[in-house]
Amino acid sequence: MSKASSLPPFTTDAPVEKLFARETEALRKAETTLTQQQLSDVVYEPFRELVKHHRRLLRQAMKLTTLSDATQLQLRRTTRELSTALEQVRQLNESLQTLQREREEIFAMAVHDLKSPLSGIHGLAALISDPELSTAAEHPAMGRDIGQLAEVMLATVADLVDLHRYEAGTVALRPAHHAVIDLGELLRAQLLPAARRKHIKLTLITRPPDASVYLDADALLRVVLNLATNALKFSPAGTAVELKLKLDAGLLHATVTDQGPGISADDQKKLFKKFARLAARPTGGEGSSGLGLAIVKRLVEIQSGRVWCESTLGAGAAFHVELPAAPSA
Amino acid sequence: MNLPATDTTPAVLFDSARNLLRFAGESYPEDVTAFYHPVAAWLREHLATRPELKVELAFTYLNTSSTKALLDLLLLLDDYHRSGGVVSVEWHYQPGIEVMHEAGEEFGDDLALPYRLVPIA
Repeated sequence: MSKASSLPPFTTDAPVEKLFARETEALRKAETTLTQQQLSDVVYEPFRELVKHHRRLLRQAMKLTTLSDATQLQLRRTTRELSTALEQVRQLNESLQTLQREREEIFAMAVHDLKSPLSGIHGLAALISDPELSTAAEHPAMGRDIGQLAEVMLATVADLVDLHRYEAGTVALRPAHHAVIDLGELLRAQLLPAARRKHIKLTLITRPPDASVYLDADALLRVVLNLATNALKFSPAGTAVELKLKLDAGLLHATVTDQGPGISADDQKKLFKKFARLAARPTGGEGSSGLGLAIVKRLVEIQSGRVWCESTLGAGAAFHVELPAAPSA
Repeated sequence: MNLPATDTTPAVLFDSARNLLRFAGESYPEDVTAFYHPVAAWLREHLATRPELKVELAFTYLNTSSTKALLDLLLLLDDYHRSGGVVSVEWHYQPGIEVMHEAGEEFGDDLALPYRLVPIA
């Protein structure tokens, strides 16, 4: 479109008159000469007719040139608009194909991820129902295992539903004013039980202490909780996790820092992809759908923010989120 | 003479080492005279020194006004040839663009100077 708009406007008569200036000048000289000479009618009349027709021809040539230029320019514009439109269609087609491939991959992985706990449940059910394969004393433990496997499946299904909703773009953000310190306390309250269970020291820092932000609190909490839960999940007992919320120049910067195993450069590249299989494993037997960070990324994007990770293998990780936190003008 | 191509005007480059004046690109400026008049003026001045000259016309698009302006330039070169000057013209065209091939033939029809149509891959 920008190409097309840089085309010049349609020509007026002025440029074409300049273009035919020499012909016009020659005609004017012939006319002047003709009137200045004392010629007999026999000679004068045919030359007068010739000049008259020549003038008409010249005017017609100018008009044709102007009209023709205008038509060609319009054709040029249309052609450019068409190629722009074609290019857009091509790109659209490409992104649709990518989307389709991604959908198929997600489907295959979701099936795989649901199938293995389901096989576990199936196997345990077979054991329980056959007196030759299990004793009544074993059943409570098997029941707990079935419960845990079902929990993994439920979490995976819930994540898939969320991700689908976020990617479909049907999430309406409801921004409002919130004190940063309140958001921080909400996060601390939700994370504290898991931190205590694993003897992890949870620290909350809010800067400045009286900061107020304008954003969708649910979306923010979902993002930061996800990152902080990961930090707790992958941190060994006895380490520390720091949660920092800092308002600076209209942007809320949330950081979750842990002393876990860290993330290799290779893993950092695929970190935010769906079902990314990474080296780190939960340290307390927690489940993992492989969708958490993909959900985080999508939710942050919906809020026009960005998320990234800084980590060195073996030296902990810091996840950063930056979100616009002021009412847009 | 070294004019870079713009959105609506061709590149015009004189290579003095090869005595080659080359036009390349599209031509549909809003004011054709404003573009071609200085080129014609330069050409007249250059021909006054009676050089040998090769001209390559590698247009990919010409509107009607540009066609008229180019015809005027070619007539200038043809006059030079008729007066004993050594000048030749090549019309470079992409075989896929039939209209530019035809335009090349039309331009050559009225000329006495050495004129050649050259398909460019």
